[in-house]
Amino acid sequence: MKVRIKFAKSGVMKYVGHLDIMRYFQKAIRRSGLPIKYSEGFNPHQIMSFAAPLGVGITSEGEYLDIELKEEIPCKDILERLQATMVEGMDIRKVSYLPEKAQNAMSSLAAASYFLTYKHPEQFVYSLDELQKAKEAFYDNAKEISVIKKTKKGERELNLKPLIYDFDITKTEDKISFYLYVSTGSTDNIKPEFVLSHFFASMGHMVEDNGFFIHRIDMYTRDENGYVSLGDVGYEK
Amino acid sequence: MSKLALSDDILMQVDKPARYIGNELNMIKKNPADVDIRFAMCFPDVYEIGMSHLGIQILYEMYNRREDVYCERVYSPWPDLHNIMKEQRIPLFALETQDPVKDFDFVGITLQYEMCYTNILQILDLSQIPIWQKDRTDNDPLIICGGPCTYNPEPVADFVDLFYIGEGEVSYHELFDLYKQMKQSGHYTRADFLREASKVPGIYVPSLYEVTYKDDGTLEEMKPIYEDVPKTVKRQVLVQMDEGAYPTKPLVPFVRATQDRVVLEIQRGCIRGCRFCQAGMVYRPNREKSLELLKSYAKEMLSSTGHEEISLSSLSSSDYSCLPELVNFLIDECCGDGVNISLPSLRIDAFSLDVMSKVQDIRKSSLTFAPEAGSQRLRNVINKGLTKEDILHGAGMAFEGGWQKVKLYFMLGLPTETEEDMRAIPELANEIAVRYYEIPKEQRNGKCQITMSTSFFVPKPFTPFQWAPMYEKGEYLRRAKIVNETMKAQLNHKSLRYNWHEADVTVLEGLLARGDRKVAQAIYNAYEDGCIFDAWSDYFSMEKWENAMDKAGVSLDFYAYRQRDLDEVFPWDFIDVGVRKDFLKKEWERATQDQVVTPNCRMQCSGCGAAGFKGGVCFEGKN
Repeated sequence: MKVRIKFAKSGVMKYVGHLDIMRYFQKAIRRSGLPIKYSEGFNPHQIMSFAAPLGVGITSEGEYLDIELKEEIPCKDILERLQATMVEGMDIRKVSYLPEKAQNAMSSLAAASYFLTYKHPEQFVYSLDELQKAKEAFYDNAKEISVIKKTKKGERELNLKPLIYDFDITKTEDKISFYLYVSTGSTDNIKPEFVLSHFFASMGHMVEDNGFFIHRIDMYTRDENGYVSLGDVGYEK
Repeated sequence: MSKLALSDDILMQVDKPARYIGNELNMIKKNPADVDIRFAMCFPDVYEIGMSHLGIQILYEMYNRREDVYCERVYSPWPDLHNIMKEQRIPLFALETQDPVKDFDFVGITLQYEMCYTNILQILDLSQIPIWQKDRTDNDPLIICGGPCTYNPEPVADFVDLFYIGEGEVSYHELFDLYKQMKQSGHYTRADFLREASKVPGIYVPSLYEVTYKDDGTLEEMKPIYEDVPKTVKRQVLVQMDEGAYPTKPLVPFVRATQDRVVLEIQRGCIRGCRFCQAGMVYRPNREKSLELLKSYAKEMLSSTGHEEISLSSLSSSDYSCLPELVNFLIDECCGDGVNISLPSLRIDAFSLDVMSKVQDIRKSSLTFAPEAGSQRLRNVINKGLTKEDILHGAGMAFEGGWQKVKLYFMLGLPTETEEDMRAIPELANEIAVRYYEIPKEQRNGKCQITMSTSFFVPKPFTPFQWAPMYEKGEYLRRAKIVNETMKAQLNHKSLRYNWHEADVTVLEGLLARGDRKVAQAIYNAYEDGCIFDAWSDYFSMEKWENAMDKAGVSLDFYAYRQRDLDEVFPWDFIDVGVRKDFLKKEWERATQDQVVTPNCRMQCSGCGAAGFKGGVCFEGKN
């Protein structure tokens, strides 16, 4: 029985890297006593897969892992048993059963949405209006956003335009934030800070590394009706 | 969100930022305003090493059970963060509350190995606490050290306010009560507290003792400067092991610790009495925990941590009297569902092979023997009971059971060692290989692999070998070369492998292990010159240490290479460790003159003195 777990990572937990989060969940599941399935062989491991690694320093309210259980347990119980053994900054948000034929979170992942804010606002003196105008030129009205992307094999030219599904800039209480909805997954994996650094470069502003606080809002898969949150694929039992 | 001592910019710059955030599973949270004593417990090495240490988890549990104490943790910042903290003058902080260590009442530092001594200075320096004990004021925390290296605290005595000699379970409550009472009386001064603390059993306050030296540089005398300060400090021992606090909900770090598993301490002390082994002497008498208690701990700890492995901790697990029952329980009741047992180095016999075949992949795992010396003569000198027949018989059984890999551990530079003893190391390995190839070809799995490792012997305080000289680096390497050359001449040399330790660190470890108060200046100089993480070969610099020693007038000739006189007064003689000096002397003579073994504690009592603690193996079957 395939189960999808949606969780949030906040506070100091953003400094814990992906591999350590995987180990954290392996131990958490053992503590919860949930009847997870193990692989065969001399060193059996839990059948568990994550939708996508979250970089160190990034918070999220839309992370996913899929596990397989040996027996059916009500979603509410799974959620409660896991939540009871979480540390501060890790929260289980939703548990659902997946249809038997469903693809796992990692292979079905198609997009992700983010909020970004300045780490050092004093380095960015632009008004909302200036930013909006720049965005119109960079994104809304552009036919193509040609960038160089570094890959394992070297560099390749890439058109960002069709990979950015939504881009918005808002201001609340003097705080500018950027909303980005971008292609994610094994084929075209676009990082939001990559888009923003090109956006600011279009304004003649070179952004230093780690210049933004990044928050992942959710991750999505694509079906015949469009993009669907990974958390809405399954059903509750 | 919990507060952090380091800014996001810094955390994003350093390697493994999760080392510095705290928040681990089972971390104790208290409001500092609700306690009387804030204690920062420090392991002066990197987080992953420090988090693997059982002793700290025991004390963390024990202190925090008291409502009036909040014990938090501190580890050495890795050099990348060290530099940032120095540059930006960020005070070192404790993980739980992220508060500066300098605002605590106590900073406890565990001394697990000599090569961490510069890291003690790093901790004090980054905490912005004066490094020298004489420079501290009533507003500074009290620096208290414990752990195995306190059996000769003198090289670091000038940096430390108090040492706790022995097992922490016994006297800490008295010390805390005394501190609290003096603080609440409103008359607390550092000097008054230290004077009173020196009367608490096991507490050594170095500033209250005066040391005089002879013309030849050895100790003349060490005596208290006040009449009410005890002349000797008695090691504290938890006699009834079942009564001690145990962390049944241990901390589980996010960063993978070196010991990423449940650790079950099954006993303390060792019945064997190997003459080079400090732990075998200073933790006497051997005391076991009861089987029933261990069974319940195992279950509870696996479920409170979610660890996938459980391991037994002791100096010689094979000597634990209920080992088969315990191991079978773990296999039957705890294994499965992805939980493994990691077995410590067990004596190789039918039982251990049977157990190992159940819990390990035979083809991948290796057998470990620690003969420590190649020849039977030298094994008698060091009192290592293991015989060649034991090894060949055990290896033979294992080979027939499907194993192919054997690891052998030895020491070079042991007292009385001759070339014959060195050559005996690869000769023994060759005989093991011969035993393997006696198995018909169709019943074995290709070649065997016999790996020999040698470390260089370091004489330690409170061992029968505490009088022994060390050798210079070149001599150690010459000995390693003899082993290597002899190996190449063996018939089965293609199945043999050999590796040896670095000699520089060994010699320095020897100096620090048997040093006196004069050595402190060399440690200080080394730290000032940038030495930290000396236990890490990437960071260790013998050149810097040589300069540091020269400037301090501290020589390896005197501290490491010198043969000590039998009547010499040692810097550590003021500690009553249980085992008496005349017993150690007798053992030294039995080793070097008669070259005979001394029976283990269960076979026959040798009257070492540890029976004075009134418990453990000394009284087994005598109730």
